[in-house]
Amino acid sequence: MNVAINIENLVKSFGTKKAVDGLSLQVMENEIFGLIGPNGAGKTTTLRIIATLLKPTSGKVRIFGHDVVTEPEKVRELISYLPEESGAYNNLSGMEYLRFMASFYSNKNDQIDSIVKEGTEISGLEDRLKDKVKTYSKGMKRRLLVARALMIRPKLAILDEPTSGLDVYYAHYVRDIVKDYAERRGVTVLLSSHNMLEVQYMCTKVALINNGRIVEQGDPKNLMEKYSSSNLEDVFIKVSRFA
Amino acid sequence: MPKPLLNLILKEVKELMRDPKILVGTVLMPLIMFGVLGSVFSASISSTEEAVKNLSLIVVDEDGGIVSSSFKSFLQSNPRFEVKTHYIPSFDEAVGSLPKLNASAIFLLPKGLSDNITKGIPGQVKMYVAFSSLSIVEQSKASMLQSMLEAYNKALSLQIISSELPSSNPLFVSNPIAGKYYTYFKGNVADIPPQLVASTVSTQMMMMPIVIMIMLMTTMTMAATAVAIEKEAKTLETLLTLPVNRLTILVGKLSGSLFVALLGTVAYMIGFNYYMNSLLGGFTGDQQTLDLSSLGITITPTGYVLLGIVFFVSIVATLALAVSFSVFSEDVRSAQNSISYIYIIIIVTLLLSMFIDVNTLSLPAQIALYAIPFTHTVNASREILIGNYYSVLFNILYLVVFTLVVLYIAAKLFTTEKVFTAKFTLKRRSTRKEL
Repeated sequence: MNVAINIENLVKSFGTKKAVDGLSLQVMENEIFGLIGPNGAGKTTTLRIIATLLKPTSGKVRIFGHDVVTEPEKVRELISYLPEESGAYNNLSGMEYLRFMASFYSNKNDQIDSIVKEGTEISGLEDRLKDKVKTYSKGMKRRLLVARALMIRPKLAILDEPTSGLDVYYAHYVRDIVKDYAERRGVTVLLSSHNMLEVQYMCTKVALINNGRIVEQGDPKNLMEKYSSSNLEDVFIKVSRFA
Repeated sequence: MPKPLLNLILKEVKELMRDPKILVGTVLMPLIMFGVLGSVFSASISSTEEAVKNLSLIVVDEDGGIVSSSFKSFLQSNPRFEVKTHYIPSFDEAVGSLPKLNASAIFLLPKGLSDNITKGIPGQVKMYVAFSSLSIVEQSKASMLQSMLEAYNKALSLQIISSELPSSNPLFVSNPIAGKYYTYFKGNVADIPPQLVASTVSTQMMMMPIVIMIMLMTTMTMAATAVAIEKEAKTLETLLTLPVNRLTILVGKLSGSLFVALLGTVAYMIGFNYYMNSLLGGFTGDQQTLDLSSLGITITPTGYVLLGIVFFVSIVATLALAVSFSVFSEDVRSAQNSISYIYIIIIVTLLLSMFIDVNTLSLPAQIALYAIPFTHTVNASREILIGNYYSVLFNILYLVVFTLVVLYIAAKLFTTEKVFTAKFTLKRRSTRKEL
């Protein structure tokens, strides 16, 4: 199995504050990998560096062998990034938005049509895709954005808090669709969440992050056994106390 | 054109044109605003013309002589106006009757007026003009009444000349020299009075900077908003992770804004032209259509091409400047705040160039003013009018160099993480922590 993400001793500072402090991580191809930790732990900064939005202060990050600093264009061809607080263009319809995004991944109309068709299915928004995005509820918008992130069949999907702010029904829908899609299409997924139960349900492997460092990682089942806990939340509490 | 760039431009134009605030504010508002202003002005001029046709006047005749009698006949027989004259014996009573009679003026013909004039002593007619408001109608009435008295003075003068010097030509005696005015400008002589040239040119000189100012400010708002709205709507992060060169994103944004800004400019120019025609048509009549080409003051086809280039380069320079500023703004409001500093520079530059000749300033002041790109825009638009194309080429060169420098800076900023970590504040620039 190939290494999808390889992070070595990553540091990112903003002024005197270290948001990420010597983080090392490996994610294998086809894994659904969860980065979990409290707010301000450094999850979003790490994801933004992987998505080529931020440059590391030091350390190395490679995506399928491509360095995020020296080969950002190559990396962007392989990834799809869904930020935690993300929006779509309010004055475009859902369909126009998907088509606009699809057009960056192919020059051929039939391929673009096929990507948009996939996006339509993932979103489950059906006829509502003809309406302008500004008429969508928060949940519908998130479904559209998840569809946008997955429809292009990226080699790596980076999802920052994919169910953030959604009610139980929408959160359940999004979780199912990400899990199902990643397994069916063989997409590697790196997702962050502070909802540890969600990660426990979706991920094949998790890393617990606190104060910019990985404090524990492994298979959720093994971690729960190791720390004699019934869920990842308990594991995290025990690990952070110990740390 | 590369497909990603075309997609970005199309998306940008769609987004901007579907935003009711932009569509109304940029394209419809100038048409409506200037249209309404122009119509109001036309209506005001028509009502002025109508109002001065029907004048109600009070005459207090304390003189009772031949001059006062001839003055009263003159008022009645004026072919241009319908004058209703009220004869009231005393001035105090006349003042009291003003509102009731809705009169525009009181003519007080003092005792001894006729005697004085008959004896060759200058007489005096007192005219009290009543302003019922400070509207244009009232202002026009006042100047009309003044010219009415001057016309009578002229007629009386001719009458005196013909009675005193029966063998002479009264018109010649009253006006022995007729002035014939010509204007010389840059080697050309034209049969046009200098005052007329000055008023026509000053109208054009005033119009041009105003149109430029509006155009640049519209463009700037559009471009600054285009980047800031991506931040505000949380779409910028996604956009920057797409497999497309960031310079392409920048050019797409600039081009989309440019298209809409040009549309807005056309709307402004149509609206402004309508307004100015209403304004000039009412007040200056023939002056507006005065042809100054015999003086070399005209825009030739080459001039139009150069003017187009000047406008285009100025717009691109402004767009680049606005985008550079908006990179540091976290939302639309802060983007608009940050570019308000450039608005001040634009307005001050244009006001200065409207009212002073930059070349008469001290050298440091000239250097400071010419360092501002907008000075070159105004300067070029004026030099084009008088065919000074070398100066225009220098202005274009400066604008191009300025644009390239600003675009380079904008591109540099856009390819770094500053595009979404930096933040512009009124007090300082700081790096924003994004955890």
